[in-house]
Amino acid sequence: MTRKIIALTILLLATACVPPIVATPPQEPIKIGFYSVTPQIEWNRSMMSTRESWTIDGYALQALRFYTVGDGQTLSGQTDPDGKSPAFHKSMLPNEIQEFFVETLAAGGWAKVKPSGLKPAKFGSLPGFRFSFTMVEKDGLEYEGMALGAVKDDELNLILYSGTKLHYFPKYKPAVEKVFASISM
Amino acid sequence: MIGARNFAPLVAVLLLAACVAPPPPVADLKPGERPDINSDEAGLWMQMDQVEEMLKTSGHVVEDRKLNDYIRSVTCKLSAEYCQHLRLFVVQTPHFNASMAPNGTMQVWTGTLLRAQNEAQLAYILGHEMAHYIRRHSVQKWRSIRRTTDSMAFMGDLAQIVAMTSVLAFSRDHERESDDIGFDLMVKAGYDPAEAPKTWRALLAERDADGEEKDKPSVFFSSHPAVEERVETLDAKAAPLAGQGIVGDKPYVNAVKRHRRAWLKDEMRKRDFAGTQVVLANLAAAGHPAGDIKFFEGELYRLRGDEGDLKEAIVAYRSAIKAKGAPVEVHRSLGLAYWKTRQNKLARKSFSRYLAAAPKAEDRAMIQSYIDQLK
Amino acid sequence: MSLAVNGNGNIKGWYYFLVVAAFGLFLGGCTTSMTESYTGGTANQETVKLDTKKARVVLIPLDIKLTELTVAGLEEPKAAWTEQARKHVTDGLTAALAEQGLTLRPYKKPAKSTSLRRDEQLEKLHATVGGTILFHHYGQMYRLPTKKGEMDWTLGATARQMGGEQNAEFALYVFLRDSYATGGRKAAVVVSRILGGTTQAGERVGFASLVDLRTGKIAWFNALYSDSGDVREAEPARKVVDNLLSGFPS
Repeated sequence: MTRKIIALTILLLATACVPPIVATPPQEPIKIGFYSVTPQIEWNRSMMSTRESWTIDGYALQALRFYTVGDGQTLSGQTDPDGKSPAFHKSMLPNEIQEFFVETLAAGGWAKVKPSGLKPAKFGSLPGFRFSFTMVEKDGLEYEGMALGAVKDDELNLILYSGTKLHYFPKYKPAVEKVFASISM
Repeated sequence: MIGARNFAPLVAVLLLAACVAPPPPVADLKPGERPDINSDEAGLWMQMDQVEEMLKTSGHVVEDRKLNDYIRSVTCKLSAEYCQHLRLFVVQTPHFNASMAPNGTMQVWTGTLLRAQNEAQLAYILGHEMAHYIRRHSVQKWRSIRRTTDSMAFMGDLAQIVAMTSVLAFSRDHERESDDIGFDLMVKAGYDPAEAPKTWRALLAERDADGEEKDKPSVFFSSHPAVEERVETLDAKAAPLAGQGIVGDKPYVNAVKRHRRAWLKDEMRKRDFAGTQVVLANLAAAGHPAGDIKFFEGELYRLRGDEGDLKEAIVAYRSAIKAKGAPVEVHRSLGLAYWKTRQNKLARKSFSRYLAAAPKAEDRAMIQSYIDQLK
Repeated sequence: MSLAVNGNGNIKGWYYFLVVAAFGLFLGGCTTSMTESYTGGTANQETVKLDTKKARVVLIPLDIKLTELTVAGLEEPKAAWTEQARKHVTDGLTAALAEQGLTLRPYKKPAKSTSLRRDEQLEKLHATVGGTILFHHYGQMYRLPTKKGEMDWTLGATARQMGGEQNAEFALYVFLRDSYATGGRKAAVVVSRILGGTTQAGERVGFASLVDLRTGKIAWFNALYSDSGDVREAEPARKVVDNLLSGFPS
């Protein structure tokens, strides 16, 4: 390690005092709003975001994210005053939530976003829905994903898993299925 | 690709906007000519060769062979000797634009294809882009920007803005030159010259649709002449020749119809609802099936979701079903709109119709659960 | 600063920005006399067993570009320089590895479109994995605790198919971006430094990696950053190559 990388480390460390990324104990439930999930395996959990974001190999390769979106908010939880960004509305039906999600990805620069297999699914004890999707990153790298969601108290709860079609998405898909099944209220 | 990403804005701003006419006269690029390897022009070519490599495998390119062949055939009608040195990329993005890189990489955006109404209008747009290539506008622009910015590095902010404005003034001259050459190319190829100004006129209608003056060029960074000015110039040129030549609405509608729905979905995402209404009206006028257009009108209202929009959506969906050519999804959308306006019985009926028309729908389980809930 | 950007999952662009910004931090604090390169090769000892005499290593065509920085900091792409550099770096890689007894094999562009598409996807995945390594491995701050400091990344089992078609056990990928200052730019740098600015004179960012095509694993990876050196001439290019290859398994 040269002294430059040390200098970089010092510079970066100076800006943050908490460890930015920590590991999750596999069997310890993690509380996310009104529900908890059990990680099943050790994930790397970002502590720098208000939203739960987990990964194994790096956020550009695969990520498991937990969204809570209020009425009128964008997926990232912002309110959009000029109505130019896709926003969630509490009256939305699952088909429309999927549409909102696809629009959000397209607006974020993803190409050829294609959802499939929308069906009813349990979100813990709540009636919810799930679907899969494929998409292509701007430079052409192919990604896959799946989402599980439910609306409670006018808020959309969405758990999203996505990653590169080559290797990184399929590798932890079974673990994520177990995370989906572990939701408890 | 770190570098590629860093360069992307540079490329976008300086090269693709390829639009300019400056002090030292530059000779036309001859068909098949390549710049000297040690020249700045060769650097620009290399840059665009690399961008082209990325473009080839990028997720945004529309690969449909027939569509690409069709656009290429129109390009070759304009100039058989230059068209073989151009490489066409149809890029999926809902905005009106096309671009020409110095090395002959030509991009045509799907937002442009959605807006053009016939082959003559497409020919005018392609002719305009071809003129940028022949007149080597990119390298002219690069040289003038480089000259100006070199001195700017030592200047303050205000001086930079003034300098920038003078660079972009060249740009507008290049656009005018391309307008002229593009017009001449389309007329020579036998197209109806009256179609050329219509392209711009439709854009004006779209821009002014909601009463606001959006897209008004900002004081410092407008690179195109005022659209009004272009319409006037083209009108004057077209007047003596109008009505002579090919319009080509049928072959054009045929070439783009398979993509219409995908492009309209992209168009909706812009959330420029008033502008999209103008686009839909123009599509109907160009001869696209009324059922499809009405369906998207309904989608537009449903997505906007203002007071009373769901009712408007229902009206549009119902007339889409009556007319020909609506997609089966019209029943699903109608069902959603009925349900949200508490017309549960009608909603159930529409969902059932959707499943009957599309028994293998990928969201069948979800729709079935709606029907069950509505019982 | 948040790791989960924009809610749409599109983190990659931001990633690169951060990697470059992190490198940029070095420059901000350094003077023009900075000459040493940052190299930090890390071999995953468990997976790398390379018998240089026998190993079949295919060289993936270099991802390389040279530009000139104008006075104002615009980057003018240089075709002639890039061609020279491609030749010098390729020759340098070939020669440096030949000294270790390793003969690099040229990449054969597949005739089948499915194979070509697969290789393109692998190359794109490699670029993303490379960015991830720069960020999550070299970026100490953003290390992933479950990796326990190990260089543990892969292109997945699909790489095996490419290995079969190329008849190779390993693939060597090289990424290089290089910019040089014009005379006018150098003057602007001096003026700017006097005024306390951080105008840059030119820089080089790159990485090289060796992928084990039997497993897909990144067997070896090395990153390079410097603001001196020259790949337009054979001799200094060889120095850059030696830096890039430092720690190459043997």
